[in-house]
Amino acid sequence: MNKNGKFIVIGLVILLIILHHDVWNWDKKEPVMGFMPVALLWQALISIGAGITWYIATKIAWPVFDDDEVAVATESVTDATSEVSEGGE
Amino acid sequence: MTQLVIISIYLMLLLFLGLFSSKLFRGTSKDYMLASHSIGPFMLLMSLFGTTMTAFALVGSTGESFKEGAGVYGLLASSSGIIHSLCFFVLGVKLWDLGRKNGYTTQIQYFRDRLESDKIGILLFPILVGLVIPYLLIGVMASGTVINSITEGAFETAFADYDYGVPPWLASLVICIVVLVYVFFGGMRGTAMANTAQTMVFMVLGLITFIIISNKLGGLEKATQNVVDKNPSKMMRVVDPQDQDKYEDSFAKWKTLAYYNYATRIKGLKLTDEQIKAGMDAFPVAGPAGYLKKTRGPAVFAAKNGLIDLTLEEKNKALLLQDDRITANEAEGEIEDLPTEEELKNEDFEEWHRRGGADAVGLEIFQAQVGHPNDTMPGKPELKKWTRKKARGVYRATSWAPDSPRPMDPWKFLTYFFVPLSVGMFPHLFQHWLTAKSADSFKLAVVAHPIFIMIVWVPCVLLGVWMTSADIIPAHFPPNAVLPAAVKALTTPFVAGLLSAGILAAIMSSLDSQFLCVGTMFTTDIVTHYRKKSEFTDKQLIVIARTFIVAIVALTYFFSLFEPRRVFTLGVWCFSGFSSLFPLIFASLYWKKLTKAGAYAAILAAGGSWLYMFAESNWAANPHYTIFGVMPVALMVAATTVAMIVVSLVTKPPSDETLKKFFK
Repeated sequence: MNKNGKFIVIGLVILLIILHHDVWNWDKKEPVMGFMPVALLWQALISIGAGITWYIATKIAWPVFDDDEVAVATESVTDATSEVSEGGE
Repeated sequence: MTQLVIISIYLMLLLFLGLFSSKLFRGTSKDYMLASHSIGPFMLLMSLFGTTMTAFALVGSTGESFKEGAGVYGLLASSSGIIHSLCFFVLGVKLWDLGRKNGYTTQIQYFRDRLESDKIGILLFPILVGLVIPYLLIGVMASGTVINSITEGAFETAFADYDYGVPPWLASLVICIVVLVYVFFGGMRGTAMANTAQTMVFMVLGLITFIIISNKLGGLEKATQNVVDKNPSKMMRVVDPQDQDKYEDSFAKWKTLAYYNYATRIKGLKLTDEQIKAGMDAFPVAGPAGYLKKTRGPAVFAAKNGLIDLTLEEKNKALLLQDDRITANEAEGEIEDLPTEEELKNEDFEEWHRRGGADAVGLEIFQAQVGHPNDTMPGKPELKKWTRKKARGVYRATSWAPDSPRPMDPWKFLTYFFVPLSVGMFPHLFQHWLTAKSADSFKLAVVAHPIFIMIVWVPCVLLGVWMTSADIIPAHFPPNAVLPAAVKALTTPFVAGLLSAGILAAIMSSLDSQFLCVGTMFTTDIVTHYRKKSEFTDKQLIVIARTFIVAIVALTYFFSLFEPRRVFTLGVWCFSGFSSLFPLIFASLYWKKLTKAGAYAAILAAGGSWLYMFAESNWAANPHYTIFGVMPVALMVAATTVAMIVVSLVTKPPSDETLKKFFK
């Protein structure tokens, strides 16, 4: 997990919550692209923004569990052993 | 009949899937309840998404946007995209980790352990099961409505009272049985497989529906332009002056009708035949079966000629009587809380609950028009007979007050954000989280969930908005039936059958998890908790779980036979109840100072505030209920949080041993 990852994700979520409350779009009647109500398009973009935010979260703020640590440690040991074996050849 | 055949084939395929998954069943209760922690990323995503998106997402969102406009997406869909994934991320992954380490299957097991309290389970069990029942009810109720609407006219002579379609009570019963069978055969593995298959079915068929219907309406742009021209308020979250003027005009005309009807029914006013004829001749619009000319013509004549003379009290009674809020007998007596200074406004009518089935009068009035929907009117081969639904609908549209356009309140919009917090406390999602093979299995669900919500909700909301102006669905149409009515009116029977199967897939993919979950909770939190597990074999435990599931389903089915509520409104109340417990689960994972007493206080505050406000809203009959201008859920969450923090701070903290077990 990235050290600042948690704070970046919290910041992005707060930003999404603020953008979600789009009072500036409240009285927009004319559709975008000829068919999409602004009230709907803006909020659909918030959904896409949420998807991107959560993607970033899985990359920089995903928690590590004991088993994962064990798995990582085992992989490292395996790698190290292979390197030693290769070196020995 | 085509629709009925397709729906039947689909249900049989599901049963087959249940039987197939039972072949993979390992015969243990752990496999039955948690699929032996073997569910990978894709199936976890599909089952979590399918479980969360119920009738609420398809039937509810279309009906609600038909009533309230395009702003409905922002109320729940986009906020859910943020909050649901947040819950998977901050609660789901952590609970999965604790669950696999400590062997939990249910929330109550976790809370008992974390709070060092055995009795907390006794308090939580009825609350959680009690909140699951309205959630189940949404699905059971909607499945009946959908199948009945889509199969109208399928039978030649049978079920005349249900427009010759499958009666809602029978349709709901069949759906319950099908889901029960595949849950019983397949357990959690079967449920996850059925969820995955059904989620794909409803997503694909939903998009196909959208494309077909938009083409039928003349394309995306034309369908939306219709709304801009006829009902512009549905495009935004304020009331357009054009809609306000139109409403005021139609409300004034409706009041004239109300006064006239009161004067003739209660005060004995009687127009001569000549006067009635003159009124009818002068009225420009005939309306369905000439009903508007017959009713409104004489009313306008009487008003214009000063024949109606009512006091303020009588006028107010006239409005309530016309809107079926009171009966003629009640109108002759005293009415409590009637204002004495001014006339009632449309929004005041909600104070008087409209009695169920008031629109059945339409069946008497339009008796001559009602019949088999495939038959034609005598002497008018170009016109089809009306369904009973249409007769009731025409009565509502022509007799009840027009809907007043409502702006979306920014505070209400903001506080809707608390509703999706419910995901954190859904017992069936807790169980699904524990099925994950690894923490990484959650990643796909966390990322894709908001996008999937968008894929499902955007077409449904657009469809609901378009239906306001497509001249297919009349005013006061039951919101739960908007989607099936649109599908039936705008597609071929074959496509309508497929699309109905898609709607049912969404409904059943939630019902199955909930069914399984209540059974698991009963066996784990009550039966094996209070009796030694060794007293039962795995087979016996599964039988006990199944028996309890059948009892809960029977209870839900019983409730579904009563007067239906708006799916969306009922859903929001159910989710609000779960959301009110969110502070508890969050604090249990992240706040060391949470105490047993604090948790009790939180649960009591949540349950008490929910029950009080639910009763105040007339058990969801008032869809516009707010308290201090905000959504009730905001106050419930606040009450729970305050009670939990205050009581926790003044009571004995948990033992070091417990803290060590749950916090690093």
